[in-house]
Amino acid sequence: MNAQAAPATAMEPVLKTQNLSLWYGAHHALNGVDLAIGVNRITAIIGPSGCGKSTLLRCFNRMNDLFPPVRYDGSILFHGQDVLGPSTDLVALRRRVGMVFQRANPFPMSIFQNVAYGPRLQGISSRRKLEEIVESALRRAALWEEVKDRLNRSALGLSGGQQQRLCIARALAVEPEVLLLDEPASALDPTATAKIEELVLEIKTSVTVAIVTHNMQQAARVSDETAFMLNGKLIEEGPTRTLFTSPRERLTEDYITGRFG
Amino acid sequence: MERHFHHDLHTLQDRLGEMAGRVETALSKALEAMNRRDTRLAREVVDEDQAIDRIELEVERRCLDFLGLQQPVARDLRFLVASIRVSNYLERMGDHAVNLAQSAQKLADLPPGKGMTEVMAMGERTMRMLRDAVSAWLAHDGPLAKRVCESDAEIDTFKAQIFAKFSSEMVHDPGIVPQSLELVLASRNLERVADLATNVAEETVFVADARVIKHHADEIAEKSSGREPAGR
Repeated sequence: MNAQAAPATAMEPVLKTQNLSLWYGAHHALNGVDLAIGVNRITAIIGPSGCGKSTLLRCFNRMNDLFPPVRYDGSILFHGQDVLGPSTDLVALRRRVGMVFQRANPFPMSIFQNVAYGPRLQGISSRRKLEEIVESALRRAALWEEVKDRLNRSALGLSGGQQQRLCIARALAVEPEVLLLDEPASALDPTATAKIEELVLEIKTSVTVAIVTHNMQQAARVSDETAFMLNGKLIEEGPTRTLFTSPRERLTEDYITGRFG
Repeated sequence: MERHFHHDLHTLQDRLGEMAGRVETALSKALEAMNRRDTRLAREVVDEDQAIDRIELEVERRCLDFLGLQQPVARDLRFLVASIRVSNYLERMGDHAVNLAQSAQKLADLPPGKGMTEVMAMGERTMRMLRDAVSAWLAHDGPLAKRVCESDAEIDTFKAQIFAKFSSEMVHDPGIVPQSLELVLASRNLERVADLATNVAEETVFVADARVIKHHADEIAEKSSGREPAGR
């Protein structure tokens, strides 16, 4: 795809891959992907299992490095800087590009401590400042009203949906510019899923969101842009409205209408 | 993988095909009834219209069910939205066939007048346009649908000629006014059928090519965005 013509580049891209390929050992997981993620946009990445969508998401904060042996080719630009370079500070990158996973993974500590964990690591020790950050992050994650009276209770006592929103609050507490969501609602019931979707729509005024989902209706409901991947390749990317009503590519149409997969 | 849903969409298309067949038959019978002064045939058209109305209701209900239950996207979504409209266009064509049949009944009670040849010629051209529009719809044939849209101008010319001819003749011979008025009305009904056939063709382009061509919408969009209209 011509990156100049990609709709997401109509605004400033925060993240951009250029001819990005990735191998896990001999497995060629990504093949020449060009994708731009626009600032304060919600970009959904869809595709069948094994298409490389989660791998692509994990490229943006180099999380794939945790699955060696991994080899990259091409470039991943964050504000124009290639994060594949040896000088990249991965801790700093992952603070600015946060991530939430499919299974909620709260730390075995209190709700407050979970959210304050990141800010404390950054050196914030003032109790008042931490309280401000925790309340703000929990509000942004649409969880504050449900937990404000039990902040010192264990996070493990929360429901699955609440735990996932807590993980989003924890990610938001360090004020990331980008939030990567890897199938954040796939283990949740429809009500909990709807809460996650609503909060994603709320936080996009301040955070750029990239979300991997195998729920196409979810992609259609929450995202501004959608990218469709198949066999490690980006098949089509464009405004969600267009992709779900009049996709350009036959492969996209066949996938989203359930004619294969 | 053929999903049940897609099989159901084929069934829906079959129902629209049957509905279109009934409309073609109604129109053809109405024209023949008018030409042959056959009131029995005209009566059949009036009686058979109910079947067309029933299919419209059924298609509409099925489409609503699919939209609500299947969350269709892309071509499937366009097809369902267009099917609701196409069933309505076909139903209205059926109503125009009834109007023509009623004109045929009135004409049978009046002395034969001049001008039937022109109306029958217009009727034949309208029938051909309707058949092409239905074929294009059933086959998702965008190019044929576009040719149907282009042929609408011919029908408008027919109608203008018939209007001009009867206007002057009625002035010269007031005795022919009752028959002539029925034939003018008939040409008006045929023109509406042609317009509706054009609408069906526009829906076909929407389904097949994901382009909205009614009201010249694609040209308007092209001008406002400075881009080529979307297509494949």
